[in-house]
Amino acid sequence: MGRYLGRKGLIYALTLFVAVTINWMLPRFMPGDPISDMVSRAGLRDPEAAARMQAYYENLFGLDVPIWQQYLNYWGSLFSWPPDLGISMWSFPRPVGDLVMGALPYTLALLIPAILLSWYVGNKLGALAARRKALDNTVLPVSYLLTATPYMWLAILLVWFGGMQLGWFPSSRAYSGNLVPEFSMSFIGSLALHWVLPFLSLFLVALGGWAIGMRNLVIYELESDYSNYLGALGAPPRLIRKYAFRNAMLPQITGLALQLGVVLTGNIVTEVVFNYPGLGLLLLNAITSTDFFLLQGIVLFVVIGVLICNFVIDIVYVWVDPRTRTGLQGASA
Amino acid sequence: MLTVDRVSKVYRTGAFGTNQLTAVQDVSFDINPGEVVSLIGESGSGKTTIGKMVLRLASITSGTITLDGVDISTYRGRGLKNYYRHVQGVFQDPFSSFNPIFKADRVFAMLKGQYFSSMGRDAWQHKVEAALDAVRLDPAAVVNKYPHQLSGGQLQRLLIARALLLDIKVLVADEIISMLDASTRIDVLNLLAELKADGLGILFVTHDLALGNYISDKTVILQKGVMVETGETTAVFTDPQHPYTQQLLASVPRLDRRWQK
Amino acid sequence: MTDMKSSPAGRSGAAAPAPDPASAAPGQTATTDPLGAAPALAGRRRSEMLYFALRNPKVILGLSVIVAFLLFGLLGPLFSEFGPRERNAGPLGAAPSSDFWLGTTWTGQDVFTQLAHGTRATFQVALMAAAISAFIGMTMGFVAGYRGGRLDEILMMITNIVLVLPVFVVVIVVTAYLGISNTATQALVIGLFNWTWVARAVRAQTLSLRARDFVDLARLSGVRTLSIIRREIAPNMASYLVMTFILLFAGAIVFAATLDFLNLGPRGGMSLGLMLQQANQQAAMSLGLWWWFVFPGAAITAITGSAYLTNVGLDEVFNPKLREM
Ligand SMILES: Nc1ncnc2c1ncn2[C@@H]1O[C@H](COP(=O)(O)OP(=O)(O)OP(=O)(O)O)[C@@H](O)[C@H]1O
Ligand SMILES: [Mg+2]
Repeated sequence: MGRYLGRKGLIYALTLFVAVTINWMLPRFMPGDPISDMVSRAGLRDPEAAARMQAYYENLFGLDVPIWQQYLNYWGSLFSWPPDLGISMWSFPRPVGDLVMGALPYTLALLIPAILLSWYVGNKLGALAARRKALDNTVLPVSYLLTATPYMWLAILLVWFGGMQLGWFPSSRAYSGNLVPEFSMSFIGSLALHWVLPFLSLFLVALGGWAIGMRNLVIYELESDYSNYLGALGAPPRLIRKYAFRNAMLPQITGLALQLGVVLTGNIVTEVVFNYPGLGLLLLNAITSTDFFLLQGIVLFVVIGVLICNFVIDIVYVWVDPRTRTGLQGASA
Repeated sequence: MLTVDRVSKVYRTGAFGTNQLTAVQDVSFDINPGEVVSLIGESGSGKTTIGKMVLRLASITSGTITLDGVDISTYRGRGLKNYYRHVQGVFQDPFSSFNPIFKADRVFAMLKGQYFSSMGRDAWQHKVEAALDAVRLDPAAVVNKYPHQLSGGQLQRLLIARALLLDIKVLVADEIISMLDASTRIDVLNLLAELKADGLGILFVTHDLALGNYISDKTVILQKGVMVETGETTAVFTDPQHPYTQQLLASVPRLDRRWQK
Repeated sequence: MTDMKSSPAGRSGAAAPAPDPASAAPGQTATTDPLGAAPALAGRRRSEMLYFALRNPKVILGLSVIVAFLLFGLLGPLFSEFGPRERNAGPLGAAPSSDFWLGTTWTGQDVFTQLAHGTRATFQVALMAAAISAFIGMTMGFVAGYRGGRLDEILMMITNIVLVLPVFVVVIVVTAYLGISNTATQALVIGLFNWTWVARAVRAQTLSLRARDFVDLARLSGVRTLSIIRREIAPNMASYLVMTFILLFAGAIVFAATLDFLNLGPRGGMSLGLMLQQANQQAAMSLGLWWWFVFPGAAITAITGSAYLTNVGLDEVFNPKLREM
């Protein structure tokens, strides 16, 4: 078990290394001069202010020291506390760290329920569909339709239909414009109402995938030799189904790790459509205003978040799969 | 002709080769023209591994194998191809030796493409028929068939015929008899005897002592990758020195005796 | 191979068949180890398989839809007298009519024209990107699986790193810095990052095929490594490779559309993702111009959905076990 996690840990460390290095390299080795680019786009009237900004950023990039030292300094600034991710351009002069921290709760509020619920409900649906032909005939096509739907399109349809046509839910921002964040019924109610549609859009697309996966896996397990063997031994079908379901769970847990990136992408576009003030919208703002500091800060944050999630899933996996615990070659990295 | 000199093989498994498994350790023997050397040992003793090293299908961890004085591990590209002109093998499992999605006689076509590309169609046809005749296969029964449509014995003989198409000096025969029934078995053994008489050297891998005794001139007994006894077959079989060999010989069921409580 | 069973790139990838821009789900339809299909394929002529495949209703339907869209992308632009970005081609924000079949946008662009050009661009990008991913993934998989040893360890380490990397976000930064100027660049960027599951799956299959004696026999026949991979190993997983390409194609469509939707696509052209972007940005939803965003989204969904459907059908053909159900 230690070995399995150790191997995974090594991969995660290397991934972090690669991500940070790419992040560091891009502004330095890309053609053109991103700093003057950024400064000129900021559109400062006063040339002196522009010069100051230019100097500030060059200093921040640490361009005055040798390149290897720049690289080490970059790592150093990441590991200081609080991590120094630079100052945003788009929302000058707020630190990137603050902006990211401010957006994070909204993203998590969408992502965590959407991932967990879609996983749970999807697996249940899939397992049921594997058993009942009639249910399968509806669940399967609908699941394929959902899974083929691009996140942004479903989000747009929900805005149009649920928000505009029916008018049931607000379809922009995280709470009404006339409220300020506070701990009150009206504010929390507004938050909840604004949350429904973006959540649904993430939930529905992911749901289809899990349902199909579980259905196929359970059928595969039920057809496997050992299921037939159990059946021949006279084991009750219920028991066989239970085993099949348990075996099918394992790949679904691994799948959770694999789907993280996908849901994350879905989250970005969903936030853009719903104007929801999470990391995705922040990312779009960073892109449109070519705020490279903000962009890189978000990316680093996301990478670290994904690595942490992967690690948590690994631990769950080890906990569920006896093979990894006993050191058998269950799941190699 | 072919000399195996203190050859060892260590398999590395696990992440970054952290686990090691010594499959063969310090094995030496040589095969002369017209000589059959049998390699006898229990399952997992490293027989196939030795055969694969001779065929350059597995790398040699230490030691050398030479053919006519040339270290075979030096062969690359063209040289290796030329080596295979003289040294060929027939594997343990005939079903796995054929690509299931292609017709069985593709193994001939492969050789034609690589070694006889300039030969005319008719000449090639004759050559193949002669080889099939040598292994007592009726061309009509095997040509244009898929592997699963042929029996294990037919496939095995196809593989021998394939090896005969080249002018081989050494044949590695890895348990080629075990898939065959008693009467075909004798046919194939007789075929090997004929080839031997023509000057072919054969590495005859088996776990069947009686077979080894029947066919071979020299015997190598392997136990867990280590060569425990080697010598003239008659000497090894009549006067075994190593306790393992003695035990092996004592445990062979005899045709002339029935099992008794 | 117990490894394959629990590894995400194996059958377990089936778990996650989302049309994922970031890390496409592998054999979402491949409920069984495709190698299991090999014996069933054995001896059946290739043309025979093709015959069965082309008679499977799912394959027929899926392929027809894809081909229909392909034709639409190829020929559609010829039926239009407007440019895809031409403003005031018609009335502003007009509903579908006999003059403007799919209506017009808020600035009077013709939605039909945009859809035709967008479909064309989408196919271009997706096919190129899928080809690049397939090339990288298969090369890595074949080499790692065939060569084994240290090289395998290194290649798989690289693969696993890219696998956990939130690829889409990385692609966003890369494109934000470099700027994507044309569809080829976009395809290249997508292709460069979207191959990991292919590498893992192909490696697992190569590993098990490589252990078969017929590979050794080919080596004994003097066949070169590259030819062995091409002529002995790859044909044994041909069905799997075809399905892989189809999945890569579907994944690339969504990936490209998502990039375009964030306005990170090629400048100047028209694509299905860009149509959605413009509709969203110009508030087509509140204006009630449903034809502006319904058609491009439906087109993406139809193409990717049909790709999945085709794969399900192919899986039924190649794994007869499923066909009986
Ligand atoms: N590719 C490989 N990687 C790792 N270990 C291997 C490999 N091939 C063989 N071994 C190991 O090497 C040892 C010898 O195997 P080998 O196939 O040579 O035995 P054998 O004598 O031919 O057995 P049998 O009579 O069953 O054919 C075995 O313990 C086997 O597990
Ligand atoms: Mg053997």
